[in-house]
Amino acid sequence: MTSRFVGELRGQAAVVETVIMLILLIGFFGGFSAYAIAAHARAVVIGAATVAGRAAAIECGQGAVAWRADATRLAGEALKEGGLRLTAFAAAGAEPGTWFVGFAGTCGSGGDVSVTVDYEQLNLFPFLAPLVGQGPASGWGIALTSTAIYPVE
Amino acid sequence: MSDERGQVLPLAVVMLLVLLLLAVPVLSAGWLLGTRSAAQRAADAAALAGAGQAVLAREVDARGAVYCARIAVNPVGGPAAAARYWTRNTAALASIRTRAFVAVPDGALLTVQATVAAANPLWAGQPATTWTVTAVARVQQPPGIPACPNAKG
Repeated sequence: MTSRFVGELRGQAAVVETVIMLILLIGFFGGFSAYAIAAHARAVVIGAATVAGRAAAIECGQGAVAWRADATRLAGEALKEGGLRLTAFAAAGAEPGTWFVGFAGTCGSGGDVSVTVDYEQLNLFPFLAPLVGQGPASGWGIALTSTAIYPVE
Repeated sequence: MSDERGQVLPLAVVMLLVLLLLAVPVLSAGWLLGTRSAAQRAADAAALAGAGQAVLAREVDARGAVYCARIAVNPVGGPAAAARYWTRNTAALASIRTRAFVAVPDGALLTVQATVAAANPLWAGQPATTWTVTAVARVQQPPGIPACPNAKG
């Protein structure tokens, strides 16, 4: 009876150890993956802002009416091509997957155009947000943003 | 036998810590690549802005007709505009600590080089990673007007 009781305790200890190890492993690899995904998303957002900013600087300098719409479309395409999941076009602080493109500047001669691309990356590990260096997390997301400023051509 | 219980958990924790140390450089590289991309964008914008300050000098004949044009990079306005755009594009990047800016006018070409030092987000004590980003902007000869014989570029 006593040996059976000790054996049960040993078995419970093994289960507890396994559970703790699994939690640690999931936390480690989950955090690793989430950080890698966030770093990739950040690079994609930077690229999207670059593409949109360049297009905006050229098109608004040429007097195109829909230069904002074109730049927004190009930014969206760049985000999609980068593998990001886009759910809705909305201002920052919304649900993960939302994106937004903001504009500033003047199209006249000697002016410049500033294009800001925002994207809310899904993130299940809130402690990762400061490591990506993109501001505080909003809910289950990391707010990724990038601004490109180009002279009007 | 009882002394051997609970040996797996400490071992697993130590292994995870070793894995974490190995993962830090990989994760940092991903983050730093994004920063490098933003720095390249800043250099591109700086080169475009500097080239945009180029001066087009038209030479006319006795009848007042333009027979050639000479492009010259503005020695003061060009580098100043480039420096302004470099600063504006990198201001949002807290990781950029230092910058060295050199503008080299060469006829109708303006070359911008900038040295960027970015801190490692995951390892504050590690030395900053340094790159040199280069961008070249070319000022095009106006269509229909030949370049003056002594014009460079």
